[in-house]
Amino acid sequence: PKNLYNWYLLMKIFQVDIPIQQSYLWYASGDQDQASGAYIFRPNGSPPSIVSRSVPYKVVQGPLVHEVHQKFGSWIYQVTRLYRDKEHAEVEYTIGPIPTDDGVGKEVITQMRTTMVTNKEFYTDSNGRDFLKRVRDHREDWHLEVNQPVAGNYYPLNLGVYIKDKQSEFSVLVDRATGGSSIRDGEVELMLHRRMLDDDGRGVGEALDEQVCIEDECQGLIVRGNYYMGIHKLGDGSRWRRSTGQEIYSPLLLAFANENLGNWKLSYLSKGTMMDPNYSLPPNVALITLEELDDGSVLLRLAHLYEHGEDVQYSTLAKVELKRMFASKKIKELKEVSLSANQDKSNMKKKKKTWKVEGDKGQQQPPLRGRPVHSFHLLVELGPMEIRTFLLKF
Amino acid sequence: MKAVSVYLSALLLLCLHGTVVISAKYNTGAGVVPGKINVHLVPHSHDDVGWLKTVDQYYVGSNRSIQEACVENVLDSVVMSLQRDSNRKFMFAEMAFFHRWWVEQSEETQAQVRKLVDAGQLEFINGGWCMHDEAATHYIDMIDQTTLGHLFIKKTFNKVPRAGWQIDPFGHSAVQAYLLGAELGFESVHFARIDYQDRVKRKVHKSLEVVWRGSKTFGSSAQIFANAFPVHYSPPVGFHFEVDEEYDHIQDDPLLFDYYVEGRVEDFIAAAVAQANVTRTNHIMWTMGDDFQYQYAESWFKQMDKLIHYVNKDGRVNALYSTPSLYTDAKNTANQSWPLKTDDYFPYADGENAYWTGYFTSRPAFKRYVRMLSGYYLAARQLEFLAGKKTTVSYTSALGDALGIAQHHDAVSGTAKQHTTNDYAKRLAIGASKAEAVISSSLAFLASKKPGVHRSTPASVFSQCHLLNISYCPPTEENNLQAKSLVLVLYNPLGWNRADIIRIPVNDPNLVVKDSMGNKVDAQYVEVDDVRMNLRELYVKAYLGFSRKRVPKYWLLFQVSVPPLGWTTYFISRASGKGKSANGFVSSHSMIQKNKTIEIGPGNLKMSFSSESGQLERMSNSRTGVSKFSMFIRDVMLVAQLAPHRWKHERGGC
Repeated sequence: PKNLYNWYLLMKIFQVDIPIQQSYLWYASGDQDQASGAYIFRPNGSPPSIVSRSVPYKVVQGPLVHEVHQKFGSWIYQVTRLYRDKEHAEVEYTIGPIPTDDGVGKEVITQMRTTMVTNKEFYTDSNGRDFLKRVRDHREDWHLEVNQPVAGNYYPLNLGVYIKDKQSEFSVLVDRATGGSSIRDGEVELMLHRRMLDDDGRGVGEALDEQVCIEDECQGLIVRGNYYMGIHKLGDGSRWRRSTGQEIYSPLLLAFANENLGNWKLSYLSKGTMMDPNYSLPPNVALITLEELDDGSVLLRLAHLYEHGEDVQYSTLAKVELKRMFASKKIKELKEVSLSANQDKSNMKKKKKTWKVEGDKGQQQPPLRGRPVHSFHLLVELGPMEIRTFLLKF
Repeated sequence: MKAVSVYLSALLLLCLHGTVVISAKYNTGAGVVPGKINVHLVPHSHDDVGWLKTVDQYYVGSNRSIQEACVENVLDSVVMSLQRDSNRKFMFAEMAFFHRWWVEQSEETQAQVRKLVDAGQLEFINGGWCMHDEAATHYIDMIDQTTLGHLFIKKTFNKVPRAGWQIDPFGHSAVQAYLLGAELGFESVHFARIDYQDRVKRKVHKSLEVVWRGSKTFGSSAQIFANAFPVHYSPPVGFHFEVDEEYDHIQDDPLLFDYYVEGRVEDFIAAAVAQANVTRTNHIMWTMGDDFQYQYAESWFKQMDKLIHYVNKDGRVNALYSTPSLYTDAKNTANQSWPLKTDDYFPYADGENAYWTGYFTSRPAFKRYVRMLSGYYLAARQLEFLAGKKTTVSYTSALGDALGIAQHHDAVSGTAKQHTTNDYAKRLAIGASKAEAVISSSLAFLASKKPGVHRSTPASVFSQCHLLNISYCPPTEENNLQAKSLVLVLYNPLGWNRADIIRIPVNDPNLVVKDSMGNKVDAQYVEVDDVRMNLRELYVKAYLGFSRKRVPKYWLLFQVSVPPLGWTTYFISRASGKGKSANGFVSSHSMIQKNKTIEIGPGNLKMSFSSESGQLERMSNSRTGVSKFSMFIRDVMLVAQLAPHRWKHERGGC
């Protein structure tokens, strides 16, 4: 029992537990000099209005999933799902029609407030790939004059956003391109929907007021989507972000048929893979392109999913065995090409220009990259963040 | 000397064939001149792949009440103008347009265009299907749409674009710089839109042009020369020569009234000197074009021919026809150090209260449609390859084309007019339906036991449910499971084995779910709520044009496991006998809570909600952090001088 208690204490050290609030709010679109529109986010300067303080809810519980259904006013419905074998909360929102009968355009956010001490810092992805550190009201390249404390701190998300303190990381992943920020320490917000009444004067000449119509009856568009929240010990979040990000981007494909069971089993195999059944890609590598081109050659792209120093175990050289990956086919020829497959990789390297850079401290440690692929071993190495592109012939 | 002989031969040609017009009257052949300010005139037309009009309306020039723009005119007239003087240059970026034009040309015209490309007069720049957005795009989509254009250029002209030309996107990403720049083999990237405060400072420090290292991981090994324009992607004021514009012509025929040459030369030199004052080296670039310009290309080229001729005759500065690649060569040759830029150029503002951060979210439903189809396209191409493309019943390329167009910086960005957005969505829907046929027939082919079954197996074996997000899935909800079973084939496009939970709408709570080995799997039913049903009714009617009377009562959830790049099958049948033989668990609903907080979560992650306000209060994850934990254990072991190798194999297993 004493051992067990020690074990329990040890487990406690590695548990993460944070107070967190979540609510829906909206920014009133500005008028005066500049309206919010398709391009521009110009809140009117007031703090965002909360959609609803009291939230009727119901709880659904079963062995695989627990759900909390919450109603935020008459136009936002949220279901939070916690699965037995998943490390995150899946939040499904249904937002709209955004009311505009008060004559005010609205930009709707979900806001997560924690007590984490984040010193103005948060991290957002670049096109779903690298994470960049953002510092509120700050730019790396010049002394920022802050005129728009909210709009000027928004960044594009394609994978997600996270904040961290000395103990933990709080991450939110998105299912589509979304604007997001951390407007106050410990907070994360996502802008999920927007409906405006004016054009913002940048050429499109329409107010962004999306509607859905049945015959002549129209109402504001309702948007449904998911975001995913995870909390982790400091340093553990990146694995969840990277692998969950892949699952969000590439969901399972579902194909249905109606058939007598016996008949089906006579005609079809119920399981299969093109890979060696005992093989899978390393956890830090994703297959991002596998495509037969018109000339019969096959385009293959493999991407390392981790940046240098991002994860102790996974920010390392990864190896993919093409022979086992394509176990059912034989690779006759392999050629490494540039990212867009229009030239030999070696040729591209030769043409590279050198540039003199101010303050360059001479020799840098060269990044880890995979070695050329031997046509016999067909082993592909990938360094952190490396994407390698090949043309194959089978 | 060369110029003189060209001049003579031009005269000769004129004499022989009265009608032949050759502008070699002007010496337009200047190259770079060391020691002078070199003004690189870079002729271009910025052609949005849909914005105020649809991509096809822009191509053919219809819907003129919205905008007078016709890309067909641009390409027709540019090709004619380039042939009039071999020193003239033009560059073209958007392959979605060029491809439309190319396939309509005669062999003669195609041959002429090939000559222009080989001579470097017509240069493909950027070369993707569109000039993609940099905020709302996923890197896989950026790579795909660029590859689509680059492979077309390679196949048709055996050329490799050398420079990025992202002049209009509203902010610039790190991934654009290092991945869709350096790793593509681009030497430079050029753009107009950076923050107004940033631009002021960069002009003072002559730091508009930088060496950009967008990747922390790759650093200098994936750097690119990045050129932010001092104003915009139009020419300096007064040098905008579109056929329907008002501008000061160089009138150099003394026999005509309003002779005007010297004034224009002075204007040119003044504008060049002003720009040179904010630029390092004596090379400056003038972007000679704007949105949908060169409708009648001669109006631009005539003025530029004359400017080059008279400015160079004056001799204070040197003007030349150029391209961004040639400009970059010149910059690189100059013995100059450049400022370093890391991270990115977000967010973009063009005034104090004008942050372009709304478009990160604009049109969220369309943004989701693009992202959903991006993953779908990736999986469809895998299956197309696995089954073999040769005897295809359908193809994925239509979806590739539609997705390529949708990455445009007014498409997925959500900044096009509504009718144009509808056009993007329509193209995607058509592409998706073709890809769906590929997926269905490929799966049927791969899973078939009969060796004779052809890849052209009718796609109708399987149906898919694209409207699951509005709880609409006819094959599962309308299925009569008395006689037949519901067969669900799952394909996993990831390279790892995948455990997941499937959720489908059904009518019957007495179902049995079995895996491919015939074992029952864990299942759970959740009642469908009213909000979901109302939404379903409205949107099924709006999208499909009819109502469904019968609505599903439950969500059936069950646990699945699918091999990497493989498929597996689950069978859903009605339980024989009632209730007990079904393996589902109908979820309990609870509305009334006695405790102050409600804790939920069947696994390691728990969330606590206030039973009074209904709001979230806490979140905890008791899953032992694998890496931290194993590191900790390793450290403990090292300290205790125990053999660490014993623990090595247990990493990740904690």
